[in-house]
Amino acid sequence: MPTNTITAADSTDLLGEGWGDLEQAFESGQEPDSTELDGVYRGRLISVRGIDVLPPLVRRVVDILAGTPLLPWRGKRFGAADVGRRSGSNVWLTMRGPDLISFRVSRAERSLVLDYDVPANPPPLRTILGEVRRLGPGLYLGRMSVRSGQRTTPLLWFTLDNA
Amino acid sequence: MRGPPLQYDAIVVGSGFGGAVSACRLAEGGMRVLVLERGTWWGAEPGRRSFPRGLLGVARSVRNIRFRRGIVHRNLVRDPAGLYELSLYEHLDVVTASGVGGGSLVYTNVMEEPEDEFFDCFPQEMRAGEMRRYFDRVRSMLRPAPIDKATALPPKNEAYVRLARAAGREDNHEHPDIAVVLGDPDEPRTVVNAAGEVQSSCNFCGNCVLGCMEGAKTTLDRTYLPAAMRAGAEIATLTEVEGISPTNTGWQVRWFDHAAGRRRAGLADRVVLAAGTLGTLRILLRSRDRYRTLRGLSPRLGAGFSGNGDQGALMLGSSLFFAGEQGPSFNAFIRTRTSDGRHRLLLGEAGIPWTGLGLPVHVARRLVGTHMLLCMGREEPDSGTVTWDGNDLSVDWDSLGDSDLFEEIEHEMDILATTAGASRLVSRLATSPHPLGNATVHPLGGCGMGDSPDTGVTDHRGRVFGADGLHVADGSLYPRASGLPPSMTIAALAERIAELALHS
Repeated sequence: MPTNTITAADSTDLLGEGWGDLEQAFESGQEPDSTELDGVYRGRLISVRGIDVLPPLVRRVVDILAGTPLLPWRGKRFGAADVGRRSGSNVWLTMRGPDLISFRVSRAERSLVLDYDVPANPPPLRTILGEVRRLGPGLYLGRMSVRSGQRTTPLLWFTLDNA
Repeated sequence: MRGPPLQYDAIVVGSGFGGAVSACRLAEGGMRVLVLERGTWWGAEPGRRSFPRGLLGVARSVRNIRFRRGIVHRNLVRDPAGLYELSLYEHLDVVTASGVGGGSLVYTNVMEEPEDEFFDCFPQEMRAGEMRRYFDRVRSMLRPAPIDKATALPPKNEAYVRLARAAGREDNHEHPDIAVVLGDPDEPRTVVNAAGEVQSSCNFCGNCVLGCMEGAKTTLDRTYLPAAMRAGAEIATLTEVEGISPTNTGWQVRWFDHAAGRRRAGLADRVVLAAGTLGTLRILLRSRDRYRTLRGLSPRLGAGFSGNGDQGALMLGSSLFFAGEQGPSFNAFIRTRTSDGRHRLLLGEAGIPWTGLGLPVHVARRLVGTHMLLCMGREEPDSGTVTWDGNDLSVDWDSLGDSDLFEEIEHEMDILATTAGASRLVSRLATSPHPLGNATVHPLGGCGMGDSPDTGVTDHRGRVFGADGLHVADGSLYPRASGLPPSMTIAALAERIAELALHS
C-alpha cells in the first residue's frame, strides 16, 4: 500500500490548515517533471506566516479575502517547458492580466525552484525563493521563503492549479 | 486536510464491460477496490433513477453534449446524472452511456464473439484459443442465448427472416446470443442470475436501448457489480475522473465529485482505466498534454481509432415488417463475408423503442412501416485519430478511411430497403452535414494493444507502456475494428487483464 499521505484534491482542501499540515503535504508531494509546469496556472494564497496565531474567525476572514479580487495576485505563468533556460512571472488582476515580478525556474531536490534573484526585480524581491511540488494531476503546492545570508525563512504557502 | 487518505489497491475508472469485470475479479482476488463511475444507478428499484420514458423523458436524460465543430467548441452539461452523452465531432457523432453498468444499460444486448482470426491483430501472446476460457467466464456470468432457442419468437423476427429470404440473403441470416432473460412474454417469470440477483423475463416491450425497467436485461449492475460489492469493492457514483499522476509508490487519481460539488483524490497501487474509449483517451491525453504528469507513453496513443464501421439508417414506408410487438432490439441480422471467408459486416433491424418513446397515436400511426437499420463493419485499422486540442478531445475521422466498406454497407441497406418496399431510405443517420460524416455507438481503439510501444499503447496484459501500474481495460484496446458488437470481447479482455494482474 502507498504510504503517501496526500489527500488534497483542490486548493480549498488546504485552506485553514496549520503550518505543520502544510509542511506534511509538501513533504508528501511529488517533484514535478522539468517539463510539467507550462503556461498559466491559477494561484491561491493558502497561508501566511504568523496567521495561525490569530483567532479562528480572523483567519477565516483572511481566507475569504485571499479568494477575492482584493488580493490582485491571480497566479503564475511559466515559460515554454521545452526550452533550456526557463523563466516565469506572476500574473495580476486577471488571468490574462499583466505579468509582473519574474523568476527563474530550476530544479532542486524533489522540487521545482522559483528564484526571484533576477535583474528585472527590485532588490527586496530578489531575496525570495519559491519551491513547488505536485500534489496531484494539475495541482501544485508552493512555499515562498525569504533568504537572508545562509538562512531561509518560510513566508507563505500557495497553490497552483490548471484543472 | 479533510478526511483520511483514500488508499486502495486498485482504482477502477468506469463500470461498463471493462470496469465492472475488472472490479469484480480484482476484488474477488483480495484487492481493496474503488470504482469511480461518473453516472448514477438506474432501474426500477428504490433508490435508483428510473430509465427515461416518453420523448421529453429521453430528452431530459441527456447528460451532456460535446460539440466540437469548426470554431464552436462547447461542452454543454445538462445533468451530470444523465444517461446519454452525445459527442459531435467534425465528421462523427458518438453516442455513449453514463451510469453504473455503463453501456450495458442501453446496449442492444448482443454478445457476439469475434472469429478466431480477429485476434491475429493482437499481441502474439494472445490468440483465439487462449481467449476462449475468458469468453466462457463472461458467458457463465451473463448467460447469453439466441432468441430462437427461447419459447417464443417475436413476429418481427419472422418478418426479418422473410425479408432476408426475399433479398436473397437467407443463408446469411443469424440470431445472435443476447444477454436477456427470455421466456413467454405474456407470462413473465423470475429467475436468479449467476450473481444471485433476481431478474424477470423479457416482456418484448422493445425498449432495450432506453434501459430495461423490467430487469430482464442482464446488465452489469445486476451481475458483475453486485459480485464486486460482495467481494468488498466500493462504487462511488457521480465521480468524474479528471487526471492521474504517478506517486512514489503508485498512482494518484483526481476526480470531480458531482454530488458534493468538489474535487477529491485517491491513491492506489494500480489504476485500471475503463471509462469507455473516449473517456479513457480523455483521461490519458489530458494527463499527458495538460497536466503533463504522464510522460513516455507510446506515440500510438490516440491512433487506430474507429467507429467500428457503425452506420444507422431509417427505412420509411416499408410494407414487409410487422409493426406490433417488438421483442429485444437487434436480435437478428444478416452477415456478409469477404472472399476469403472473413467477417465483413452485419446488418439488422435495430428496433425503435416505440412504446418507450410514448408517441401520440396519430404520430405513431403515420410511422408504421418505419424501421431503423443498424450496420457494423470491419473498418480498416488507422481510419481515425484522437488528439488533445487543449481543452478536450479532437476526433479526426471520416468514412473515407474505409470508403469501400461504407459503400458496401449502403449497397446492402439499399437491397433490404428495396426488397421491403420502402418508400425512402435515409441511409446515414448523423448530424454532420458533411457527406463523409457518420455516427457510431461503438467508438473503439486509440489505446491499442501491441507488442511494443512502437505498435501499441498497452501490452497484452493491458499495461500501459511506460507507466507501471496503469492498465486499460475497455474498447480503446482494440488494435482494429471487429465490425461486431464489442461488449463480449471487452468483457473477455477485462477478464484476462484482471487474471494476469492478480498473478503478476
